[in-house]
Amino acid sequence: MAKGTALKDSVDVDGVDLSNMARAVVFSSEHERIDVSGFSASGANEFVAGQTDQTLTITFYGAYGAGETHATLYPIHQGREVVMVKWRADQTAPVSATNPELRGNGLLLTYGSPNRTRGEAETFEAQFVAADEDGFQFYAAALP
Amino acid sequence: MTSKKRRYLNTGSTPFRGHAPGDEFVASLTADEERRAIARGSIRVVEASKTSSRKADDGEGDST
Repeated sequence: MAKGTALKDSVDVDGVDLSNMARAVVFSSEHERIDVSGFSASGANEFVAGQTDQTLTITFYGAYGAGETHATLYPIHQGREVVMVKWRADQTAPVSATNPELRGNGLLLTYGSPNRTRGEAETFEAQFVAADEDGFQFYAAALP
Repeated sequence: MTSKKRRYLNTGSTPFRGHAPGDEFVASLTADEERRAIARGSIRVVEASKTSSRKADDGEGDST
């Protein structure tokens, strides 16, 4: 498998293809570490996995047209709406085991636009958290 | 959450559900999905699909 360069990513929020409006995607899925260490000869700590905290942070360009980033994301944030969020590495290839789709129902808790500086492209971060028990997962097949 | 099959026009400047701006398409959106998409200017309702079991005037007033 070739090493990848992030160029052709697909980013979809609530059915809107925002791929061309996005420039970075960071997914984090972290299980809480619960210390269950007891006395032992090695003295090593022992852990079990606890709650899972997942975030999907996407850096978007600021755009204010119909169906663009602000029109898509701000109402979702303001209304605390739960929406389907999807990402995959290659938008030119279908979802498969080698081009898996990360998806789940998300809540947009953090919306960082406007974030403007004179003479620079406006970019901002939008951070989704999982909104149901399924969380964000990688799938080898697209939704029907 | 119920969904209804309808014909939509992509009125936004970005693809919606795989359909390019300016394209007409038939889809089953939930009431919330349709409400958000119309409010943001992504789509408008063209007509209820002939395959729909729902009446054409069901929510057609959302269309502009």
